[in-house]
Amino acid sequence: MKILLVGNPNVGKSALFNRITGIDVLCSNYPGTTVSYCSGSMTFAGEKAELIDTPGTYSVDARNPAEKVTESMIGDADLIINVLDSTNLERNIYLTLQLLELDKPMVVALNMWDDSKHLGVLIDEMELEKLLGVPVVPTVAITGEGVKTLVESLSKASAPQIKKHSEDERWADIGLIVKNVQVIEHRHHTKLESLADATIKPWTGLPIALIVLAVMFTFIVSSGNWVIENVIDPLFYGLYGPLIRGLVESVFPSGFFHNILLGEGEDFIESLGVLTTGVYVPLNMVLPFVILFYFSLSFLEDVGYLPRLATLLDSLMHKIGLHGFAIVPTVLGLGCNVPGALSTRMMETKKQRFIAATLLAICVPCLAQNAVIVGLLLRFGVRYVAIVYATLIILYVLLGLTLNRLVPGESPEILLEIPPYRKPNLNTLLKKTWIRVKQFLREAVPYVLLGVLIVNILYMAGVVDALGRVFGPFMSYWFGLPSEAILALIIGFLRKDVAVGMLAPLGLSPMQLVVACTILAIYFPCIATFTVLWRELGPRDMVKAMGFMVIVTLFVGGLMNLILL
Amino acid sequence: MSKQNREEYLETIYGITEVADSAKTSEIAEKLGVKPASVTEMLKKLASEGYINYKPYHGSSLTKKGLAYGKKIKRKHRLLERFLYDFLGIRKSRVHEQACQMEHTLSDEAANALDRVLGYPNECPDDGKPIQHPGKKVGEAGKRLLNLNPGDEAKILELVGGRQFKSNLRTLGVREGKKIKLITCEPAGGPIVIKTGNTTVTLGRGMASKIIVK
Repeated sequence: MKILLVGNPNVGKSALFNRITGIDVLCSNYPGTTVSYCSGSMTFAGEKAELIDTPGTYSVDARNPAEKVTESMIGDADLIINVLDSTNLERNIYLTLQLLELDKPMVVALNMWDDSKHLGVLIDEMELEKLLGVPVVPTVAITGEGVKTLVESLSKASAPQIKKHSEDERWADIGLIVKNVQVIEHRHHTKLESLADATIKPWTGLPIALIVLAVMFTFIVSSGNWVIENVIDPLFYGLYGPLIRGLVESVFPSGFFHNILLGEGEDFIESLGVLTTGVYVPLNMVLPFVILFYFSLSFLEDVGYLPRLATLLDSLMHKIGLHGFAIVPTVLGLGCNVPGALSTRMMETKKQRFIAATLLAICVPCLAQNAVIVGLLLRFGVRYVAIVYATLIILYVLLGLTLNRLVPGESPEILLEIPPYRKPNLNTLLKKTWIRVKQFLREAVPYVLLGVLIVNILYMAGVVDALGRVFGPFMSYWFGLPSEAILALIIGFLRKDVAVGMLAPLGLSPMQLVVACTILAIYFPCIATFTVLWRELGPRDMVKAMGFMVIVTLFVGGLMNLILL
Repeated sequence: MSKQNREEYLETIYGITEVADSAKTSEIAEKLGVKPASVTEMLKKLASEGYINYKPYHGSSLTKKGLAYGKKIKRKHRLLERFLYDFLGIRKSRVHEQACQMEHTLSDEAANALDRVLGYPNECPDDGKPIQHPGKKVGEAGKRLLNLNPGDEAKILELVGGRQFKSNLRTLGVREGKKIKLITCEPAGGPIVIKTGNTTVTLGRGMASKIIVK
């Protein structure tokens, strides 16, 4: 038995899903983030049933890939729970009428019932039930109010025989329904609404956006550093290090396995041992930042800030062939390029998806990489870090302008719903952060261990020297880097953070490090991102994107070599 | 006399008599850039065709037939100026000349469609003269959403565009008959933000220009 949750974006489908199934799930305030649907199990009529949370959709004549997903899922559904935002009844009910024409048993959840009361929207749910011919249950998914009644009402779900209507007929029906069931009381502008207006008007909104982003990144970097210095480093150097060293050395006092597991030297970054560098880089250098980043991002999402940022940045993004929406793949990509690449799916046209994905792969370093870049360069001075990021930002804009001209196709205008500000729920926030961190651990740690292992073996087998001899002259001629740096480029395909870390033992000058870090950021995405992009763009466009990567890397690397070294 | 020539004369006389009782021959000659002698000749012809009342040395005025004709051409002229200026971004100083060429080939049907797409504009761009909207009662014709100022409230009269465009907006709650408030316009050609009911929506300027409000 398949039960589907269907509704507009931002109506609380995911929260309701959470309530009914009890398993953890991505729950978001941002239109479009539920592109990958969630499924869980529930009990219905004494039997186990599958509950599916579908991407938000405004109608079933789908206009973007996410909505197409929903449309195709409705086809196999046995029962539909149509979730409505009570504060926007008139708009939401259009989808309801379309769903009723599909002849599937259905119930309606009037979610955000409490919000509608506060806003002075009074709905006669009994009358609505009579008019629609299916059970209607008021719910508040965030608190759980009415959820039990909703689940009980599933056994009364009905499929009224309704003939196919035209769009105009539906709107006429909606007018009648709303007139009969809804009364709106007058009320005054609230403080939250004034704030909502201030954050979207350009003269107040842009400074606020800068402050929000600055606060967010300062929070992430400073608290991350604090945790690393005061908690994790002492643990690693004081406890884990001696313990693991003692353990390994008691079994392998020296030789091949000793070197594989512990590497050479005391330093956790430079030793390149699987159990030293392989564990230290993802868990110490990167994980604290990942947790803080995803927590902050989830917070901004759940509050409802991101669509406002998209609105503010729209005219800028349009110049590079995208629209404000595209800020989401970029911001997500700053955390990890994989979810960023996945989210390019919500752009409407092929041109936009191609530009967004290519810019992401070339100009947006993930958090893991950022953490290592900052860690490596900051000790020489802020200006070195600044050069790397200034280069990436300039490249983002220039490459965007170029791609906009080169890539054929359309860049449609932005059309985006701005949800009201909502107080985030700490539990949901933590759950969401955890899901994302879990994904990071699952995807990152094995690759890091593998990466470190491969490097170590290649070193010992003498392959590094061989590669260095073959490509070395080119590396030093074109990029001004020593031949050993070629290995970092190879490993960068597995994990960019490990690759940047590998630059440490090479004894490069600060400027050489700047060039190497920049090249590592732009030349190629890591294998996980690569796989996702390949799937999203298809082989042909991916080859094109790779062409851009090679050209851009040679050009930028060569230019930096000329200017900086 | 060619159709284009006749239309130019009637339009010119219409323009002059909008503010004056009659159009002096010298004034017509100056506007059209021709010699007064040839104007006199043309005026006689127009009078014989029943478009104008012409008395030597007293200037000309339009007959009922001439008024209807002149008005129609002038409206096309002003709509075309609006179109050239608003949509194609042609400089103000250049729109008059081009509209003069185009007005004679624009059909009545196309003129009405243009009026609708332009959002029933109130005045022409170069000299601010009013544009008429035949078939619409006074106050019935709306303006484009883009012409509102932030903070203004209005009612949506019409969505001008294809089926998909209309359906996209309607399902977001932006549809005919709804009251909307313009929250803000982002600078540098950025999108605009509107609010209708409890829904706030960001939309690009192209779309906003296709929403007619009052």
